[in-house]
Amino acid sequence: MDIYEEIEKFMKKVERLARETKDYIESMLRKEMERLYQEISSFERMLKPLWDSSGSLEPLYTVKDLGDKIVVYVDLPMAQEGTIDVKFSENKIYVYAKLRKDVKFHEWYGRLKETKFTEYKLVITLPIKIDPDKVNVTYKKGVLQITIRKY
Amino acid sequence: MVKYMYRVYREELINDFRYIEYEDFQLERPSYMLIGLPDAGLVSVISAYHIIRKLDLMEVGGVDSHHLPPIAVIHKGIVRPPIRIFAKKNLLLLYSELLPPTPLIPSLINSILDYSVRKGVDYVLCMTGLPIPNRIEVEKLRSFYIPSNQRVAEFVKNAGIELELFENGYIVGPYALLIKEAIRRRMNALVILTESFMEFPDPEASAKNIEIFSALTGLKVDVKELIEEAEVIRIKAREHMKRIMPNLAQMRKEYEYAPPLYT
Repeated sequence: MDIYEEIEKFMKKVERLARETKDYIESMLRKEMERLYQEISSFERMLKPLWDSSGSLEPLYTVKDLGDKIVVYVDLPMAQEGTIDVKFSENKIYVYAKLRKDVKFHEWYGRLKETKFTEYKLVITLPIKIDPDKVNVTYKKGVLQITIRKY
Repeated sequence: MVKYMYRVYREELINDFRYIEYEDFQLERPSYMLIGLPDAGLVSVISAYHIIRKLDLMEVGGVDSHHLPPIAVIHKGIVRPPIRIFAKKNLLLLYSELLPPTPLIPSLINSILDYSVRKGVDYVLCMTGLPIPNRIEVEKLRSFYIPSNQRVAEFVKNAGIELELFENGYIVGPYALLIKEAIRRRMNALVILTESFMEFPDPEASAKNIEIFSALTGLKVDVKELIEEAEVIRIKAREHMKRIMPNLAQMRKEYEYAPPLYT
């Protein structure tokens, strides 16, 4: 092997290392950006109340990825059963329900006198596109269970 | 005359936690201390809240610390510390709707046990939720107990209630620390766990725990009202439930779902 071949081999190695380093830095930056975004959106979520002064309550919910399906539980105490409406669009779930009785916070602790809550409203964003034909919705004990099959 | 603030009768600093008493009080024997801190399904706090109302407990003190988040609780126009102490006859109840930051929990638990010794408490009781993923399907909730010693195990057996010994698994959170510390100190402590939701307030599990509490202590607490108001409590407790979830995740609460390898 002559010196030129040696240099060429060395240069290729340097190029590969430069490429790998660039990829590594890019992936680290991407991860860090993602983490920052998650942190900021989590702060936003944390600082936001679970009600809106227009009269809607945001219910608690939880999303469980079980591999072949995603199960979403939404806590809807006092929801009027016949009014529960679940809609899907792309990767979003829209949940709506009327409350059986108006909820007035001021009766509990004296504040928000002008506001009464009459309904639940919730939008959940999932990491997958939802096929409405692969969805099953049940309501039991005031908890809405939405099962979304992935395949 | 409107009172705007509590009156300090006695104050004691235990592990950086200031235990404030508003009046002189002594517990009758046998004495019980019930701890209501936020945990899975807020089961503990909801039980404590109902017991305070039904037994008409007096607010006799509170706990504060410069390590806690900067929060004051305002109750009926009176400023209170974030952790509140109630008592009547032979029951002392520690109540907090806010969960202290995770790194603070070990010293808080130690201070609670120190304080219970000062007040001559015979049994420290913790009644909480045991999260199960299929909670929505379960009609009959199972309850388990973890005693700190043989005497407490006998105390449970003598009450003649349907309770299973928690034989294998993990518990995570303030009560896990409390039972370990109580064993180390040879104190009488009991953790009751009733199956519950993890992420949603669960008054039904709280009601089951209260029935166990009544049988254990002989202090009768009717749960009819709690069952009737369950849906309202679930709405009321939503904000607290949402805010303690990051703390539960940080504690690795999901370990409670895991079966241990070695049994």
